[in-house]
Amino acid sequence: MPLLQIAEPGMSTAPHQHRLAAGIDLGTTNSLVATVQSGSAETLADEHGEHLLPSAVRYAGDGSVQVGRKVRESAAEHAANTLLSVKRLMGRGFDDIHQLIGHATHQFVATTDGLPAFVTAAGPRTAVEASSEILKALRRRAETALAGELQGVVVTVPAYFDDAQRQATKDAAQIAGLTVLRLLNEPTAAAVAYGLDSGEEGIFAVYDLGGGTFDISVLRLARGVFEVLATGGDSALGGDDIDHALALHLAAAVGPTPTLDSRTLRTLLQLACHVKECLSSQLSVTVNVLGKGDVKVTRQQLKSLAEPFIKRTIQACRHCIRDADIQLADIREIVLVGGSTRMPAVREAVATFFAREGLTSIDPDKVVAIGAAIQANVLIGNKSENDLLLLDVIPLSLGLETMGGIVEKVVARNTTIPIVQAQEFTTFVDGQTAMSIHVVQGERELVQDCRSLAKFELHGIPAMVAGAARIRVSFQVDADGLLSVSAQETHTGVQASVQVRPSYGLSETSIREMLEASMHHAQDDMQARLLREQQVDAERALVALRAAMRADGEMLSSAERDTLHKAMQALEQAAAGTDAAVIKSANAELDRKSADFAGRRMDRSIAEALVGQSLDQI
Amino acid sequence: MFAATHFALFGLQPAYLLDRDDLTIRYRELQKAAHPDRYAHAGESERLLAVSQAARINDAYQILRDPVSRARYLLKLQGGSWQDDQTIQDKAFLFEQMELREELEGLQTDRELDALEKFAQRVRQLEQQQEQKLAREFVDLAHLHLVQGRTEIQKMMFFRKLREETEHEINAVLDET
Repeated sequence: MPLLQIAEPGMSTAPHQHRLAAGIDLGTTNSLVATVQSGSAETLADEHGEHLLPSAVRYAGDGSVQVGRKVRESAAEHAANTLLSVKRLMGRGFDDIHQLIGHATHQFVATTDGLPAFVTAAGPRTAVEASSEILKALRRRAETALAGELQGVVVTVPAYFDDAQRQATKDAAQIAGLTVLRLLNEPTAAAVAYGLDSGEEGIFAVYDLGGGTFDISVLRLARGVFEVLATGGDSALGGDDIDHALALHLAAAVGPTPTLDSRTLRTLLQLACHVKECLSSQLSVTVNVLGKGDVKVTRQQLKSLAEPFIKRTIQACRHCIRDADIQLADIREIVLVGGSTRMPAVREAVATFFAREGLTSIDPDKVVAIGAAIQANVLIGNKSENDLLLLDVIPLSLGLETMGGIVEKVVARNTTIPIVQAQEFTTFVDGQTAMSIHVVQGERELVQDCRSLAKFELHGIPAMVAGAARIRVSFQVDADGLLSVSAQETHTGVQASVQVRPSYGLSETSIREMLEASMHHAQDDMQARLLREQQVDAERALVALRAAMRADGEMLSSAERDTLHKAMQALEQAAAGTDAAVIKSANAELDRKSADFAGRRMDRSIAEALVGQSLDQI
Repeated sequence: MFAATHFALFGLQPAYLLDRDDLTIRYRELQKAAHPDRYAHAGESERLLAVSQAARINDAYQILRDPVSRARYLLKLQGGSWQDDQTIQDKAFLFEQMELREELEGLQTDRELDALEKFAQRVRQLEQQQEQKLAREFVDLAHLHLVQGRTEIQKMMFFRKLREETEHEINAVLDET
């Protein structure tokens, strides 16, 4: 039953109506959704009281899609149509799949965008589509619990995710019909959950070992500002790897192993996961393996199997601390996040390295979603603005391919986002009018060892002698950690056109097709939805501008005020109608006309930000 | 936000010596005013503006908080030129650097943690001494000798690179154990 919302006595609901926002932890093994209600962030349960939604998706031949616990429990019987740990394939290319374990249970084909797609009874399905099904299930859960439509969500990603992996996550949310307020790094989200809880200040480290990814982040917390100093990790290292090693160990214990078919492997992996969980609370466990015999596994044995993986996490911690330019002793607390930190071997290794016990007072499975919900509540505008600011970093350097396949770094890793960096290039031959640029991400010196993000072709460069043209290429990394590129010839001011071909991503067309297909399937009316979106956007813009004019109206001349009023009226009228395109263009018009006012307001607020500080100086 | 210099953006006069904690406090206040998170429910052009403003604040902060990039920035403000590939003329200094490099190469072959740590400690001290020289050179901007200033920055960069390589080596040895 949906809960009724009751306002506090004396608290008016309008105009500061509580907007519905949620934080989503889209995990390799489990996913969660959380929201802030009556001032505290809580994860939401399904109708059976379960908070964790297993990230398991099944596509049936009749086109139906199932997500969750039942799908995972019966994974072995329906191995081919059951997709698990799809997060590991987000933003990956077809050639990457054989390096990633855990998907030996599936067959793949390449999509028209060159992405790997699982072969299922319902046809080929990509990791992005499967993720969107998980997100849809969480969205339904939240909208049922909150009795309303979500206006915005914060979706978390591993801090170490590269641009392609982040973009894939955002695409999945878009296909699920969600408005993404922000992509938030998982360790940062966890720090928010803890930081706001304790109100502590100082340097924190967050050790986040999930099912398929590992992150370590070092943050400095002061007066509501969470500044990430450095982050590191491995986006293909997690509890899954330990399960896999244990599964092979179990199989070997009952005799020489024939090649494992997908169903047997799935059974073994489930058994391994069970053994691993038992060994978190007991010292040994005996299980029957494939009906071939009983095998006893001790905690010590599991520890040895897990050791190579744990060691890699500790190495990453050491590197991250060096990158943060701090000493181990500077770290005040180490926060443990992710289901895999329940393993005693992991806890011991972390406690030994950091010389202190890890903090686990907030459930390591839930802490990321809780932090995301807090941030979503701030971003949607439910909370006063001055109590939380997150300053995150880009996890991997961005660079360009130069002669000989060498990478020239443009943005160093651990640079605080947002970032705007420009680099100048020139032409190589006389009369050259086009140029191709290859953007890569990673720390290695050779292009082939880095992640290819995109190739750009600049056209329309004015014909000049070689070396005369000055092409300024600007890289912008926004607060989601996503890259965009623009280019201009600086002598003539000609804006060169940029064609983006993401190396491992969906084209705009594919996303639109998937969105339409999913709407169709959900028997949702695409047009109605688009109209609603435009109306919400229009309302948001009007509310924001009215508030701005109330606060800083004296910055406007009366002519300017008239222009704005007219544009606002036009938008109001458009929003009352039923044509989404008309609302959109009226909104764009208002945005254009109010841009100058917005700029002046921002200048003023920046100038005022230092007023108190400058007085100290005098 | 057309603050003429990064210093002006932070409400400061151009100067080499600065209080890093104070700079950080100013940085946080500026970001509280400009960060895109503050404009998450504003119109599109306002959000884009916030991204570029916040990016400039980040860039300026990064330049000002680090002694080498701060000195390089001041050198340019004073009309000096900076190119990454300029050479150092000080032969004695170059000879000292060569010796230190040879020492590091020897340590890289031995891969002994203690010896590497000791070497790193020494390099850190040398770097600190060089930072003091840099500060002396830049403390009086009105009388900054552009060529000498540039040389001190270059020397500082030599020590820094050496320290980073040493630390990298220490990490590599630690990773093996």
